Amino acid sequence: MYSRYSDRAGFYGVYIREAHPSDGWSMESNERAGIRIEQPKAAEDRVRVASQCCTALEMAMPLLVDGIDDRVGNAYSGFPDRLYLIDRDGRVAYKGGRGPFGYKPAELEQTIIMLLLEDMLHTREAQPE
Amino acid sequence: MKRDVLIRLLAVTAAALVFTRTAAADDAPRAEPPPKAAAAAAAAPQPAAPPPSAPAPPPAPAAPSGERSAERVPAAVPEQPAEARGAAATRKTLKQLGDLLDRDWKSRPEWAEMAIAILKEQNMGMGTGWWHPSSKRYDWDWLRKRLDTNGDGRVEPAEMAATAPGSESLFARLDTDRDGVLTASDFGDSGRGGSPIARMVSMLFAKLDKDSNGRVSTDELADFFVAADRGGFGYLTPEDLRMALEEPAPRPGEARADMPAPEQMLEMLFTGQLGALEPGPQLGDQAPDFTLRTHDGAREVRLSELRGKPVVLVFGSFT
Repeated sequence: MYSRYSDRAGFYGVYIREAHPSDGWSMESNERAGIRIEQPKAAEDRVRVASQCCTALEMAMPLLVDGIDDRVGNAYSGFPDRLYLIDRDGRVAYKGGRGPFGYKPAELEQTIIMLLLEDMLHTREAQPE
Repeated sequence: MKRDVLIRLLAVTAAALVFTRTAAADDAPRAEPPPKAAAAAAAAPQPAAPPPSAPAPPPAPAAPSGERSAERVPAAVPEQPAEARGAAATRKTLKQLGDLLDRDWKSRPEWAEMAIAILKEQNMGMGTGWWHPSSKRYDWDWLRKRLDTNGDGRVEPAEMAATAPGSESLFARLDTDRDGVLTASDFGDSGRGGSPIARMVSMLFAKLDKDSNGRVSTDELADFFVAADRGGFGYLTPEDLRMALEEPAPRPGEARADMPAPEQMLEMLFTGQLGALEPGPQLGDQAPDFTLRTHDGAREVRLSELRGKPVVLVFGSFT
């Protein structure tokens, strides 16, 4: 989706606290994939895990690292996963459900498309023929 | 806001305690009209849940098996450890609490929805219970009003092209069921991602994508094949595939792996391990501004400086 729309929208990952750290609610699926990560306790640990994550997942979009006080993650209720689309005026046009089950990239894509469509309609209204 | 959350939490906890105390007394009589003796036993605070045909209050003869005579279980009733009965009563109580909160607390924050889902032991899964749905500015109705110019309840490519020139490439992305027209079925849960086959595909994908990086490589495909081909025959049968994909059923009486008990889940919820307790901005709200650095430290991004272009924010972690 990033590669499809990145010329028309900004995409940013926000790396927040770990959902299933080895010292918390650990998950077998992570162990199977060879991922064992402790909950970062200091800002530089979090940056390090974020970089690890970025490399492992071959992420193309820029990854922002939340403060160790979780200020942005909390302000957006982002934990454990959530998607947002913010329109060009800075207003929320899509607030995804809480992940993992509410994580629906397809819904986000529909909303992106319709936001772009709305722009096209406005452009047309603004300059008729 | 934090304080508000704590107050509600206290209220819920207090309610839970009251219910736990009284649950045993409530349960037994409701199951069947009790004989007088059972009613008397039920009225006592202990034991938690007397068996339906519980004999008169103490002293009763010890079970002939000789195990744990203190429990006073009649020989006919299968042995059940006291703590198991206590846990079952707590579960039942928590469920009652969940039902009541669900019934009487209509306009509730998302964290309460999670708490209630835990109390009611709702299944966590795609599209079922537990997770509050998304909210979006645009839906099928929005699209239909603007693009269904002939009012036949569907949007054809020509209609979209005429109303929004330059949008041709977007049509196919919206036509999730690929029937060549846009209808209500392309949106919502019936659209992409919501159908049974879509759910099966995500399950299959998760099995194949061993390193969970969102991409299945040839190697991963080969590894899956080798593991699924249990006889080493060099081919897969439908049965092989089923065995490879289906999770083994939990052993009778055992909880699902990775899934803590409701009491633990509640604790995890209120210590912020399940999801942020804060509500986050609502649809149409001004998105809270922030400044964060990229992971490589290369640049600092301030949300409000990105105005003029839509911005997608993807919150998440490695695990």
